[in-house]
Amino acid sequence: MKKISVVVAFLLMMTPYIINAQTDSRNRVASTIIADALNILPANDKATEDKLMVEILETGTKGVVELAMMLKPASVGGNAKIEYALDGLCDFVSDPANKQYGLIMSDGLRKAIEKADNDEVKAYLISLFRGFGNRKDVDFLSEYVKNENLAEVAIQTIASIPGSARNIVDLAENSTPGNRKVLAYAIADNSVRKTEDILIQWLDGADVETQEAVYYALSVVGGDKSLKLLSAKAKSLKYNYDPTDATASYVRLLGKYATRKDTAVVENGTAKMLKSKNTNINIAAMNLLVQTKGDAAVEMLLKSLKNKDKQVRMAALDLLKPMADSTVCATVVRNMSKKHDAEALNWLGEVGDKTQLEYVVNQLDSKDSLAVCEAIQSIINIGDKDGMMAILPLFGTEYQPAIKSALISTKNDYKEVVYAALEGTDQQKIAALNILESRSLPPAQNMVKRLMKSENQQVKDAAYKALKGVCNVGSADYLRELLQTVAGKYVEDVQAATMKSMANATPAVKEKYVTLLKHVSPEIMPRYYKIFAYLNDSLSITKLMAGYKSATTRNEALDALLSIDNVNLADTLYNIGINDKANMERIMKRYVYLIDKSERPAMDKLNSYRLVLGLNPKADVKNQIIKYMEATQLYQSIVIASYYLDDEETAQQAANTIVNIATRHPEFNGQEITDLLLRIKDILNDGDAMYKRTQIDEHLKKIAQTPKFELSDDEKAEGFVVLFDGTNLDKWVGDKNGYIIQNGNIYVSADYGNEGNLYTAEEYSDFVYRFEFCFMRPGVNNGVGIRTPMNVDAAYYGMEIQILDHDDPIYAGLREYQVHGSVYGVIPAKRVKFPELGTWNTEEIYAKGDHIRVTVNGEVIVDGNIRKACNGRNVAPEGKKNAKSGTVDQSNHPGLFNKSGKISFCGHGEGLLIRNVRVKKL
Amino acid sequence: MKRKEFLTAMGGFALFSIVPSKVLGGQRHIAPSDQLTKGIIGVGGIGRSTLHFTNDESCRLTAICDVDSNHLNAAKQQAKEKLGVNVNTYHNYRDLICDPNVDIVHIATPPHWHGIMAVEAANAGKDVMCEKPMTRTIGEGRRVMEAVKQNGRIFRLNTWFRFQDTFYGLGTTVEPLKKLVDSGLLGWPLKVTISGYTGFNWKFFWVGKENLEPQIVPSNLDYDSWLGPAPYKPYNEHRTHQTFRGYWDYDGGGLADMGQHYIDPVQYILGKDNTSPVLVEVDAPQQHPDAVGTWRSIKYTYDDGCQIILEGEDNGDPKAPYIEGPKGKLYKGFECTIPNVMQRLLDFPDPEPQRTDFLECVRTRQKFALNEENGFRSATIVNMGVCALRLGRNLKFDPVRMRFVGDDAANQLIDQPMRTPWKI
Repeated sequence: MKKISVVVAFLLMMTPYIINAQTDSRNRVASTIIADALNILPANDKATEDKLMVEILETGTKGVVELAMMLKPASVGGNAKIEYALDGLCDFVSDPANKQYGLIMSDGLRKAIEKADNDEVKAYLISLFRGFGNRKDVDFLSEYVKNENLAEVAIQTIASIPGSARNIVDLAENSTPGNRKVLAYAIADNSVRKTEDILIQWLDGADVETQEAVYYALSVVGGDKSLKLLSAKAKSLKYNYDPTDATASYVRLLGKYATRKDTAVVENGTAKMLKSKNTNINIAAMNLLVQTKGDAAVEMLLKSLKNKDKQVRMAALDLLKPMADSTVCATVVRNMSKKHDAEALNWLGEVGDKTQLEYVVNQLDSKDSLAVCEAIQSIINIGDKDGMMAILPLFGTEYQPAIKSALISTKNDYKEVVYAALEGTDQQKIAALNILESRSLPPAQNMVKRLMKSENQQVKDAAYKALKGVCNVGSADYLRELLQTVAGKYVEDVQAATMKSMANATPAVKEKYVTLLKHVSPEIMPRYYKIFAYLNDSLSITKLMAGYKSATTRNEALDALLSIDNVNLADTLYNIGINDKANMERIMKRYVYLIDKSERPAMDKLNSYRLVLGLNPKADVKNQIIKYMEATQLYQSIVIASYYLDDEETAQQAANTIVNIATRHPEFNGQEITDLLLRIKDILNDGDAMYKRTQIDEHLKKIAQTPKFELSDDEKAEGFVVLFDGTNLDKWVGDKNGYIIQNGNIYVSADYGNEGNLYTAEEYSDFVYRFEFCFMRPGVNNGVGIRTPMNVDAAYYGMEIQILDHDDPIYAGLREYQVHGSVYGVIPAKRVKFPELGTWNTEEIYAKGDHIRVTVNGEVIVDGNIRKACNGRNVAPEGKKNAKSGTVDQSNHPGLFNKSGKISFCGHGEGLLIRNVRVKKL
Repeated sequence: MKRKEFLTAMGGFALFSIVPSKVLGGQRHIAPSDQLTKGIIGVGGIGRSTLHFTNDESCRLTAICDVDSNHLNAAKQQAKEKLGVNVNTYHNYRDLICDPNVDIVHIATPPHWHGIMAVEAANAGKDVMCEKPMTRTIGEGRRVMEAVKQNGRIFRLNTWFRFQDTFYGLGTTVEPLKKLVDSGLLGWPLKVTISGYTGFNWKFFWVGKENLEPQIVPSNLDYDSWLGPAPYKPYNEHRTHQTFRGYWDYDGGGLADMGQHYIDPVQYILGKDNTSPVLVEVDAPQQHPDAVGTWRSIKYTYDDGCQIILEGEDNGDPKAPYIEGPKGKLYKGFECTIPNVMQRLLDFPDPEPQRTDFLECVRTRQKFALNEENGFRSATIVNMGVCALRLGRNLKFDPVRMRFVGDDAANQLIDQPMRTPWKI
């Protein structure tokens, strides 16, 4: 199969015209193919779009023309679908992978343009050639330049097609004043040579816009003649900006000479520019000179540093960056010092120069505070050790913010100056300690510890704050003891330091920290709770739980417990919360927070949320939970959230959760969802309500497309009644949370158990019951209960016609009376060979008196009499030892001979789809 | 003496005698010679917002321009009543650019005008503040960058999350993210996901309408000038004020509206200010040639394997981290899979300080934190996505030549024809 399709594709590639077949493989003519495509466009994905484009293109030029002729003038409109198609075709053929279709598109468009009787339509069609047009198209389009309405689009489109230079020259030679602007830009865009003379002629008597266009074009394609012309024009404008933008065009043309390294021309031109009063023109001249002469422009740049205009100096400095050797740096300093120190200092820092360090360091004493700031930054950028030490006297002065910001972000070694400051004046000490608080430096630990004993209160306070910046994992013992003895005001600092030191701690280190904690009085103990919470290991949590049990430390311990980011703690919290009336609300809030963060299955999460909602907490907690429910994306969450729509305090959140789940699951398309969403439209009133309402409408449109199941004429005549048509479970009772509607099917997500069953509302005695089922995963197990009461095991208290993917290896040991279709335990079925998973199967259950017949996929697999099958002995005779029933499974089936009862689906877990359920009473 | 001449006469010295406030942390008095002036082009939405329609001692508002006389009149009145200034009003932006009483041109028009106006302002020797997105094509962005550099101008692209404010729903500023990434704790390469689930809203309500009925142009609007370089299309209200973002001719929907806000900080975090992705992949419904539509995902890949992934509306993994590296993940609210990450970060240097006071940059002639170069790069990321989206296919990109590789149609979108007589 695959081989053939490769050959076909190859043929298509070679002979685009042969494929102009009358009909396609589905026997559709071109107009049908186009109509079908228009119906689907815009395609939802690329594969679909590509398929449609190929289908249209394979109808040949005829299809393209037919499509294009459907266009109406823009002033009439209604073209959206056709534009999707035509634009999509052009995008498709412009993809190098689809090149073989390009000619069909070209031919088709050309024919359509000829055929169209409206210039608006023609203009749109002409513009479509951009991106894939060919030489033939260029010749064709040249004709349309004569049409005043189409000249612009035709010229622009021609210019966009590679290899069109010759045509543009032809057009230029035959231009009219009206189309010169657009031609000039076309010449510029394609750098069309040998047009300079024509362009210059156009200037004669031209309007401002045409002048602008011509100057622009000359700046791209012009040579010496243009240079002379533009130079004079720019000079006459005093190099000012004007609507002809001639100055900019002149600079652009000079740029061409600069690229060619034509020094003489550029030097001549820029000499005048440098004298201009316009700073930006001075700077442009400097740029051009550097572009032309490279490093040879260094003298000019260095000279510019003496310019009194800061803009010029800064531009020169910027251009000097790549040339910054020691000579240049020395000259920069020489030319700028005294007057513009800050500028020079900033620059030296940016280029990382070390040769002028002495100058930089000297500026630390400058009276110009900006220069001092720049000197500090430069020194730290340069990273020289001696230079760094020179900053020491400024520690703790008004320059401290500049020092700190540079030191905490530098990648250079800055330790020495901080050590020195820690040994310096009190002011310097405080400044250094302040830096340690933001960037760690463990080798300074002993110095900081010493300063923690300082008699200067400010130094002492700063030292405690700096503790976290110098402690490492080896400090654990020290910090543990310190926390016990330290004055109250420093507790937080020591806690912060402990946490920092434990950031990378191994479990053993953490355990040691806690184990060695002894002889702590109950008053002091809470100081450690924050640490326990941070350590977040089982030993620490045990300690906190112990603290929680004691009345004196309960609150502190609880605070700590509730701050722990550990999803495994969730159930513990639930258990203490359920018994702690005073704190229940905040404990449960944390519990649901952790549940939301956990990796538990969505259904488990929802069950947790339901537990807490059942405690009827305050509205804010309810809202939080309803918000978390959104992440479960479960149908059941929609159902539960809907209970909270009536309470004003929770209605908005509930509405949002429902919308946010429902609109992401078009497969939830039962009537219940539609009704709920319509109801929510009226409830929503938050900021996004308008937007959400539109979203609901769009979604309802989408899900309304699900077809309803309808009886065939035969079944109608026979008197069948539909029990499930794909939209609602109105004729059913029981577990509607476990059996939900998805894509017009009943999807079984029920767990095993009596509550997980879905029952018909009515009871049935003799009947024909028909439905279709589909296994979505291996090993699905369910069953049809018949003549059964509710909430009992239908297999024994009624009958269960087995539904089972009996081929799954997990059922290797299955007994014959358990295979699919069996009257469970009573009449074995012929073993069905199921098609692959995901395929729909039909089933009919016929029950009349004792006669049961089961037909699957047209094959009768059970046809028997339940009374005969057990010799009338559905239960074991009472009182006899080891007595057994007469059924094949020897179990009691007390409900086997029930006269009537419900029909049910007996859920045994996820993975079954059911549809088209109907029944006829006999 | 005109203000400008006065300034020139004073030379640069006076400009420089004032200590920048951010360095010393003190209050600054603005000397009259230090006072700057600005003119705003486009005073409809953002240009007339309280954020930008300001006049204070550091920067005076002197001129405004709009092609809608209602906007212009309302703004003139607002300037008089709220700010107490009489401003010059212009219909033609070139007149504002030529006004000698304007130092800084603030471009607050729809994006299809940004490139032309920024280039001409630079050619006229003005400094520029430009709203995002910087330009609507890659080619225009390159021209802006070149013109600003050539004329020695100071340029600010106006988004700011790389240096201030909580970064949307992410619940943190960008600075600690940058520090975390630079620390290497997350490993390399990194994958950044910008989706509803990581805190960002792609504003899919900025979609266009495909079948617009032609309407009569209101007398207050010069529609031809409003369109400017954009192709002529019959007027419909929905194309213009407030809703123009829904049309490719002027902008690019929520992607272009929010893209640079969301992506520029990522470019900064990843240290990609000097390069661009080499691949853009799109997953989207087919786009209309005129009306912007929605998309599911846009994925960018850099040559070192770093990725930026945009997930539209409800798409993507609800549990996706904002940043994912081989050694760790970072989620909304700075939640990190690396335990005790805040404490660990104390061992690493802070990100380098950025220059974030635009007026001070204008005075000191230093590059602003988000300027014509890195702003062009982040605008290019947005525009690469727009090109791939419009063509409906994945595109390779050369970050040095700034061209798409092996796709002529995509390169046509880099330099799009402008309606005559407009040119950049």
